[in-house]
Amino acid sequence: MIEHGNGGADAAAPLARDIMTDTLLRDPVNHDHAPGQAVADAE
Amino acid sequence: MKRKRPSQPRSRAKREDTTPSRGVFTRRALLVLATQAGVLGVLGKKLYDLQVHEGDHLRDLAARNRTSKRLLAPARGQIVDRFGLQLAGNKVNWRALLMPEETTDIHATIARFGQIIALDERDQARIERDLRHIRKYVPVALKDFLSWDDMARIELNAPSLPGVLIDVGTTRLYPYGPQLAHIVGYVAPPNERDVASAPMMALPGMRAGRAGIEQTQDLLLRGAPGSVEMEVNSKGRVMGEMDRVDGQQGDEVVLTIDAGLQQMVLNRIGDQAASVVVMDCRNGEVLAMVSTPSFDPSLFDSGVSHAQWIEWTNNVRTPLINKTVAGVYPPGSTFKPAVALAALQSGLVNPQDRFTCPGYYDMGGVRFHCWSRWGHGSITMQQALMYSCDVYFYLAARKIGMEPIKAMANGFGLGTKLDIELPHTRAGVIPTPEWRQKRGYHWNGGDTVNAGIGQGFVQVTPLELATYVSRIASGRNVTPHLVRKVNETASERTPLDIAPSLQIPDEHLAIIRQGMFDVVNAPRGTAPKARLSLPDVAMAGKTGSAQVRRVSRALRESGHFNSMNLPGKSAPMRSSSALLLMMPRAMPLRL
Repeated sequence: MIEHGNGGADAAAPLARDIMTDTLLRDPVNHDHAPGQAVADAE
Repeated sequence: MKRKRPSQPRSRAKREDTTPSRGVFTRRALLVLATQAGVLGVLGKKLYDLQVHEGDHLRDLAARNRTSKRLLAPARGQIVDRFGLQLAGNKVNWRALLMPEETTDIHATIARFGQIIALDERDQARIERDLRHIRKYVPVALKDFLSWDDMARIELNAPSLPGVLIDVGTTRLYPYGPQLAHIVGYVAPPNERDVASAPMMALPGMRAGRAGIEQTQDLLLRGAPGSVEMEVNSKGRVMGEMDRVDGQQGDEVVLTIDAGLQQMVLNRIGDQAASVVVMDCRNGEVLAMVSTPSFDPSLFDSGVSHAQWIEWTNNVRTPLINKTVAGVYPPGSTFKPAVALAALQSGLVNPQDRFTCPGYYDMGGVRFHCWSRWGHGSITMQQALMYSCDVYFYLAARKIGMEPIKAMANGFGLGTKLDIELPHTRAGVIPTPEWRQKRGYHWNGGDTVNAGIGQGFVQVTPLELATYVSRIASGRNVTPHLVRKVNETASERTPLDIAPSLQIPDEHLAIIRQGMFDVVNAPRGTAPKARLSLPDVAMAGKTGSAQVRRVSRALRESGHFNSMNLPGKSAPMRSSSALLLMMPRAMPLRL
């Protein structure tokens, strides 16, 4: 949720996409130790 | 013959002289002996009393005269993330303490200390406050965070500072600072109520949780106090440490948070005022929870300055409030799946029923607009979700009424107080005519129409929205939580296979999930920008834009409507909230 963000499709969608991408690449739920540079490497 | 006579009286006299003096001596001797025996008896009795009857007590008094015993504040327990990274810990704090009972003139000692180590107004006020409220045998902290030079000066002047001693304790450390302030919270010096509830809280260095996990898990984090026995001289100066029993550190609280992910989310948000909740939709574990702007939690440890407090409280972006749990916002179009589910559940609307959207809906002389000026034509429920058509949901809401919508929304976590381990959480509002009447107002049809698209009186928190979308994805009653385990004991989790079902028919959920999938992935969906570029990953979602200010017809028809350009004295007057919910199209298989 972005305050004063105008439209959800324009303001929140790219942000949500990036956060979901980070989350899926990092995949903290299926790791026992903090994932290292998985996201940075992928990007 | 006559010579003998005089000898008789002499010897008689001698006998007469001897007999009485022997008697006197005997009496005196007996008297002296008795006196001596009496004195010795009294002394013996006293000695017996001192050694045997009062021995323990007197030994204790003597020891007290020679030793000083005081309690030690325990180290506060750590808070760590799901991988064991420290989110809240302790750092060493060398400090000067004053034992009030070991100085004859407390204020003279403090004044003398102030000449050696500068005490500012806040220090002096705090010391005065502590002296008023703390018992005499509890030490008062004079100054925290002493440098080596400070300590050397105090030691050098020790003879003129009776009752002052240097002590090592701990103070709270937040390695991630503002990044996790709203979750971890902060500690502050205990108040009178804290001390009344637990005398241990009066010890120097003890802190009470005042926000976040620090507050809700405070009793676990506190630990148990230790003690130290010191040898002191007649003036109360510490000569050496005789015995020390370290306190028991508080429990370690392990969170579900991934600090690395939290950092990534913050980097993505930048300087926007936003709230993000990333939740595992299978079991409710919160992986990241961000509310921006934030604040530095370590400032509370020794008391926030007045200027800093004013700056925070006057900031319209409310940095002290965790907006994810305490910020309530109109959900806008993200509310439409709940209305759709309620419509299906009521049986009054079928998935294939078509409603016509000409771009507006007139009711009671008021025109309610669709976001599309040209309308969406004749559409089904799935299409209405994909296009986020307002008119479809105006009509659906009017048809079923508010009670079924409220029941469905509450079942999915909207408008309910969620039992997460954070303080100061708020519940949103799903209004009904009864709710409105309780506040002395009449509910009209327009209120239902507005509520159908998540506007009007409907309000939710971002955490409620995250729970709502998790329940749509799983079909189960998953509940959000932040504490994974305490020490090595896992907290009660709610895995997918045991969370109770929401009792929503699969075919209803399938329609909603497909509509939300189309929002992101169909050519005419409203959130193509949310499409992921990762292979084999398909996400569903729902956009929402909540408007706070009424938009005039002239402005709308101008075609240049942008809430950020609306006039207003302050930003909240023209505020709008952009929301996006995202969930996996298909539930991941692994738990």
